[in-house]
Amino acid sequence: MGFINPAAFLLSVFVVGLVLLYLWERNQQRFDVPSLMLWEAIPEPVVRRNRFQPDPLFWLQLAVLSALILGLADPYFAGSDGNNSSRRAILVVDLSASMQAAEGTTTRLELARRAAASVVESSAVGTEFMIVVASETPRTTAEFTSDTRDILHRLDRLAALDTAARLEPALAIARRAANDPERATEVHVFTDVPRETIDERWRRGMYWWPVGASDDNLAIASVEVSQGVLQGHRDATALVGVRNFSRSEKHGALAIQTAGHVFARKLFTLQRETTAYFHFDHIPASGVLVATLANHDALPLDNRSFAWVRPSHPVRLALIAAPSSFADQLRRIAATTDAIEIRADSPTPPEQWSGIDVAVFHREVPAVLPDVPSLLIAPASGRPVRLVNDEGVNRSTTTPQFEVLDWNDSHPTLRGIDPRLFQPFTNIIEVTPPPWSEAVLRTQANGRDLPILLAGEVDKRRRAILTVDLENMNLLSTDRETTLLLLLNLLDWLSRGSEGVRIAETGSSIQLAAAGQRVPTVTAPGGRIVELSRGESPVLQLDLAGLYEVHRESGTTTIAANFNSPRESDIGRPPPRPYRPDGEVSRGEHNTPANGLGAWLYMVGATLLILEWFAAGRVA
Amino acid sequence: MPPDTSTAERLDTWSEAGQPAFLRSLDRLRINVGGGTTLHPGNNPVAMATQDSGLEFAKHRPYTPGDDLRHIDWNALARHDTKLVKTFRAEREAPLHLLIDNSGSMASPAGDCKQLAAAALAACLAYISLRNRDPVRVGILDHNGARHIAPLLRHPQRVPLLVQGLASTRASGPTDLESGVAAYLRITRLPGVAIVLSDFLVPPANYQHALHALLASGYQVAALRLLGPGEQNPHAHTRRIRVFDVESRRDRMIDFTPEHRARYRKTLDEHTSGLHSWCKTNGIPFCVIDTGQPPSAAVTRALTGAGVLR
Repeated sequence: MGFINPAAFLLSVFVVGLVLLYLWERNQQRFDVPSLMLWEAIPEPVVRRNRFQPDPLFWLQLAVLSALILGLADPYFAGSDGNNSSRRAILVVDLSASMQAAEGTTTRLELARRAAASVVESSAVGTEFMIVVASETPRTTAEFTSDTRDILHRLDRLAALDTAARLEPALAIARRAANDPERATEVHVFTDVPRETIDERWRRGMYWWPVGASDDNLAIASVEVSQGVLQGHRDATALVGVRNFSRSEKHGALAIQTAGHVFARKLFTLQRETTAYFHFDHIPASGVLVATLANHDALPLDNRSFAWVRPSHPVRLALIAAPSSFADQLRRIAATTDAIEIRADSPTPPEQWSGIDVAVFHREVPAVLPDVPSLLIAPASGRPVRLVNDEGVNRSTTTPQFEVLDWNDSHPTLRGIDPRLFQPFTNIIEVTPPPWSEAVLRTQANGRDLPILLAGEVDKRRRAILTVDLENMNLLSTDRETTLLLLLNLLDWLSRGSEGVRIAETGSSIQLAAAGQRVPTVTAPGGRIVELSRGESPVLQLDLAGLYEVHRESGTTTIAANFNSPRESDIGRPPPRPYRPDGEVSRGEHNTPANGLGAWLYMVGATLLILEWFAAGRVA
Repeated sequence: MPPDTSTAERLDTWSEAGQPAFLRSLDRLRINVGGGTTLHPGNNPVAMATQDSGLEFAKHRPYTPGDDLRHIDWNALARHDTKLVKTFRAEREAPLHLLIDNSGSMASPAGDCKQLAAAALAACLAYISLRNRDPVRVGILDHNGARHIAPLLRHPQRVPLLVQGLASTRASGPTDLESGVAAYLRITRLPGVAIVLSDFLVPPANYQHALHALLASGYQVAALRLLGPGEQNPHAHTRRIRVFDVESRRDRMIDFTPEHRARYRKTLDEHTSGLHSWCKTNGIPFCVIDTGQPPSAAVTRALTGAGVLR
C-alpha cells in the first residue's frame, strides 16, 4: 500500500491538539454543587488529576480526525488486477525553450519535473517507465525500466534547450512505444503546450499535465546590420526589433554594444503584443554586435541577440590583364572609391605578392596560383561556349544568351544580390570545375549545366573563377548593375579570408569544413566542450544560444547562435488544467491511481462527523 | 428519581405562585405555628389568655382592689351579692417573620429554582398572614448578615411589593444562619412566628444555634427545607467530575460511580433526617419543600401536613 500524499500525516499534530483540548475542556467541566458537605463522604480518586482518560466522545472525535487525515494522505493499493509488473508508463517531457520560463520562484521545466516525479512515485510497484523528450530532435533518454531511482535521477538531469520544439514527433515515438497489447501503458505528457493545440490523432488517450501560465516576456525579435560591400563599421547601421509578447504594457531598455562597450541605449514602452524597431548608426567598432534587453521577465533567453559588423579595409588589387575595356573599367571603378586600390597593374604577374589582397586575372591563367586570394575572369584555358543544335552544328548566327538559371543563395558572394536580375550573358567560357570549388551561379547550354561562378578555398586561400568574359560589357551601366555588384562582392569576399563571426539560429546545424587529422573541438556557450564526430564534414548542432568557439588546427572561428522563435517567446498560456484520458479534468497535480481510497475515507469521516454531532448533542 | 418537571417548567410554575391568581386560592388557610404573645393588641384572639377589656367575654374573676369599676359585673352583684370582674378574651397580633436564606447554595443547582421557590413560598405565607390581619416582616439572610425589606407589611395588597423585592435579590455568598439570625434579632424586637426558608446546608451546629436563638427570643419557629431534584439526584455525563462548591469556591474530584452516587444520597438523607429530628425534638415544625413539585402541592399538602398551615 502506498500514499499519494504522505505529507498529510504531518497533520497528525492535530491529534495532540485534540488531546490537549480534551484535557483543558475536562479540566474546565465543573459540576456546581451547593455545598461540598454532602460530597465529603466520597473519597477522591487516587490518581493524578490530569491523567488522560478519554470518554467515548473523544474516541469518536479522534476517529473523525484520523479519517480526514488518512483521506488527505490518499492511500492506494498497488495493482487492481494483482499483476504489478504489467503496467508501463511513458513520460514525455517538453524541453523546448519556453519551458525555461519562470513561474514564480521556479520554472516550467521544474514544475513538469515535479509532476513527472509525482507520477513515478504514485505508480504501482513494478511499473516500468520510459522517458521521451521533445526538443529540436525528439529522442528517448531512458528505455523502459522499473528502477524508479534511475528514472527520477534522469528526470533531475533534464535541461531545457534554447530551441523551438514540436511535440508531435515525441508523441509519435511515445505512441509507438505504448502500442503493446500485452501491457497496459499510460502516456503522460508534461508540457506548457495546451492540449487543444495538438492534433487529436497525436494526443488521443494521453494524460496531459500542462504547466505555466505567465505571459511576461519582452524579446528581441530581430537584429539586422546593413553594411554595404566594401563598407566599414562607420557606414554600417543596425536595426533591432523588440516585441512585447505579454498582455500588458511593458517598459524596457535596449542596449547595443560592440567590442564589449555599450555605445547606445534606448528606453521604451511597448503596448501589449506589439513590436517596435530601433535604428542605430555610427557604430564605433567592428566585430560582434550584441543587442541586450535590460529588463527582468519570465524568459530571459530571448533578451539577447548577436549580429556581425564587418571590419573594413581597402582591397589592394593586383590586376593581371592585357589592355582591355574590362581593365579600363576596373581602373575607373578603383579611382572612384577608397575601398579599392590597384597596387599592381601589369599583363604579367608580379614577382612578389606582398601588400596584395586579391589578384585579378583577366583572360590569364597563371602557371602557379599566387599565394594570395585570386579571381580568374574568363580564364584562357577554357573554351568559349557555343550553342549548337542536336547535330552539334552551330545553330545560330546571333549572339548567344546565357541566363542565370540556378544559384546558391547562401553563398556570401551573392549577399544583397537578386540573381534573377542578371542580364543574360553572351560570352561564357566552359571550364572544368576544380575539385576545391562549388558552383555559385549556373546556366545551361546544349543540355548541360555550365557554371558561371565557381568559388572555393585552396591552400587556405580563397579562389574564384568567373566564366563570364566581362570584356565589352559596360559594368557601369544600369543593365549590368547586378554584375557589378557581383564583382564587388567577389573582391570583398576574396579579400576577407574568413567570414568572421557566423550568425546562425539555435536549432540549426552547421556543417564545418573538413576537420583533417584532428577532430575540431567546440566550446559551447557556458564553457561546455563539445566533441564533434570524425569525418570530412562534422556537424555542429546549435542547441544553445550564445557564442560557440570552433577550435581547429588552422585557428579558431566563432559562431553566434541567436534564439529567434516567436512561437516559443509567446509564453502566455491559459490556466493549466490537467487532463485524464477518461475525460475528467482533475484539479490536482498528482496522478491519482484509480484504486485510491481517499474519497472513501472522506465519506467515512463525514459519517463519523454526523455521528459525533448527534452524540455531543445528546451529551449536552 | 428523575425530576418531575424540567427547569423551564419549574421556573414558570414557581413564578406563578407569587401572582395574585394563585394567592387567592390560599384565602382559607391560616398560619398554624403557635400563637402570638406580643404585647401589641391585635385582632387575633389568644387562647387561654384574657384581658380587662375587649369584645368577647371570656370569664369572671374575683374583684380585687384597684380593678376598674367599669368592669364589675353589676348583675352578678345584685343576684349573688358577690363582687366579680368580667374578663375578655385577649386579642393580640402575631407578626410573621419570614427568614429567607439568600446564600449562594440557594442558587445551586441552577435548575432546582430554590431561590425562586423560597420567594414564592414567602409570598404565599405572607399573603395568608396578612389576610388574617397579622403583619409580616421579611428578613434576607446572606453573607452580609440580615436585611429586611420593609418594617412591617400589614395589608395583602402589599404582597406584590414583597414579591418584587424578593425578585431583585441575588443569591450569593456563604451560608451562615447563626450570624444571619443573630443580626435579624438585633434589628427587630417583635416576637411572633418565625419561619426559616433555607436549604440548611450548613453544619448542624450552625442551624441549631440559629433556631435556638429564635426560640430563646420568644419566637414560634418553623423550618422549611428547600430541596430540588438536581440536588436529590445529581447527574453528570462524564464519570470523572470536578464538583465545585459555589459558596466556598473549593472543588473536589469525584468518580461519579453508582456506588458514590448512592453514598451521596445517603449523606443527603442523613442530613435532612438529622435536621428533621432535631426540629421535632425542639418543637419546631419542619417540612421539606420539593421544588420539583408544583407550588400548590407544597402549600396545600406539605405545609399543611407539617402543621405549618391549617
